[in-house]
Amino acid sequence: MILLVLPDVTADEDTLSRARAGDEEAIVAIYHHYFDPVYQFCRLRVGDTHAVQDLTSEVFVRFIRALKKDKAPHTSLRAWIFRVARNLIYDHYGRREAELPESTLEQWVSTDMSTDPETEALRRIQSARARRAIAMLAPAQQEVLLLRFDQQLSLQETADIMDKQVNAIKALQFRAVNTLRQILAELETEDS
Amino acid sequence: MAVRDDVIEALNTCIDRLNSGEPVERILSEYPALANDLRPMLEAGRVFPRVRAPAAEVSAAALAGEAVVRAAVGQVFSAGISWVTWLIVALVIGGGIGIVVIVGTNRPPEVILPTETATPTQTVSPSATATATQTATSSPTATATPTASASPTETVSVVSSPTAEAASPTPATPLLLPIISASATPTVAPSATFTLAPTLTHTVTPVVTPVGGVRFVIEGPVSAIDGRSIRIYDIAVTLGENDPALTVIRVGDIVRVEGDRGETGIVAVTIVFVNVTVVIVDGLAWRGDDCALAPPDWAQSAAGAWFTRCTGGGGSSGGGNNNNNDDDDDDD
Repeated sequence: MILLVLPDVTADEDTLSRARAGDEEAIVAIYHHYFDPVYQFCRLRVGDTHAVQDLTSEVFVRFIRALKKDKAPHTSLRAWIFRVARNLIYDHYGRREAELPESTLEQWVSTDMSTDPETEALRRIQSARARRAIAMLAPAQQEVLLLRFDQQLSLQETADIMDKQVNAIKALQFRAVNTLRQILAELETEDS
Repeated sequence: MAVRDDVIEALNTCIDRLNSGEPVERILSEYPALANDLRPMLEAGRVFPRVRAPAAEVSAAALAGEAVVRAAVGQVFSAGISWVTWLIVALVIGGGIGIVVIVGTNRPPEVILPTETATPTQTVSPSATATATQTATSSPTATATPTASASPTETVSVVSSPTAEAASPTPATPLLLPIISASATPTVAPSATFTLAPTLTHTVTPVVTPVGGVRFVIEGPVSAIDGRSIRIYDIAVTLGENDPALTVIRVGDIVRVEGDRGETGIVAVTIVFVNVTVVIVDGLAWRGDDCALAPPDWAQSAAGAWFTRCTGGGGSSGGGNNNNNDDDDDDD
């Protein structure tokens, strides 16, 4: 038997075993371990903070139900949790594409804390340009970049979450990053 | 634009290495032929900002969510216990499986408090308390409230409070509930015979982590090397003491390791370099990512990728890089 251990910073095995047995503290420990990345992931896709809170909680409620039914993951817990989150986001949007909401994009500013006015002005321009460029990408391209660059998930995890083959993700991320590069270059030319 | 597979592969490797904390320039220095293609793409990808919601917002949401999670745990996991509880209660009331027959005895009332431990992960601590008073007639009443929860710790407690009326003598109502089942047969009175108390049966499935026969496979960038221990996604992987791979492996290499579980991580059985050509023959290792470092004679038959990349032709190998440590030639 070969057990594929996907790259995952999971709660340790013992914690997961105890969670499967219904140990509340173990489940809460896993919840705290994954809450922040899941919340941030949902937050970038959904503008309403109350909805984000509900979605994030629902991810873990589903995890608990899966534990009870012995359907919780035995390999990459992180990929499993993100996949549930992604499905809930799509459910939230109904039949519409889960696009990055404009309100979220407005909050996408660099974490650069420079106080230099010139640097600050440049940063604002670059941030605005980045937001415009990202908004012009197809949702799947936005998503793959979000998972790979922002959430720093592995290729395999991204493939699991997006329900695609690894090679398809490789090609998608290439197209996404290449398109983004081209758009940024065009916008830079326009601005100058 | 014609998309070259090697660019796609290299971009993917670069993203992995970027995510593991390596600086862009160091990564690109290992891809001299593709650096001009890769640099603008990596820079573009990095404009995807690391946006973070305000910490106060996240903390408040986490706190509120924890309450939801705890409630869900109670709801989901106690549902099963409740069902079992009700089943056992039903069996007890219905005169279920086990039988305790009280016929009459002169023994004084007993209180039995057994404590037993079941292995490997279960502790069973049943407690049984029984009292009975007998006078003229026999009207037994029994209440049993077992509570069971799944592994690793299981607690079973039973309280039985039968009351029987009989002339005399002093009643005795023992109730014994050990690990699996129990029955006791004391005697109460000549004419008072009744049945109560259950055989409590529960099944425990211990959590056992399989060890034998499990082969772990992990693939990812090497984030640290310490002696013969490497780390991949913060998982420690120990290579053999004289493994020649140790002489060529570098932080940032993407490797695929198959191995067994050891005390501190995974003990490698095989290691495959994914993003760089490495040839290992008879304890010697050659790394083929430097065009200035031509493969030695013993490695040339497996260094086709190096010849293709660095000399623009098939070189002397005429074949791929079939060594035990490489399965592709996309080492650009």
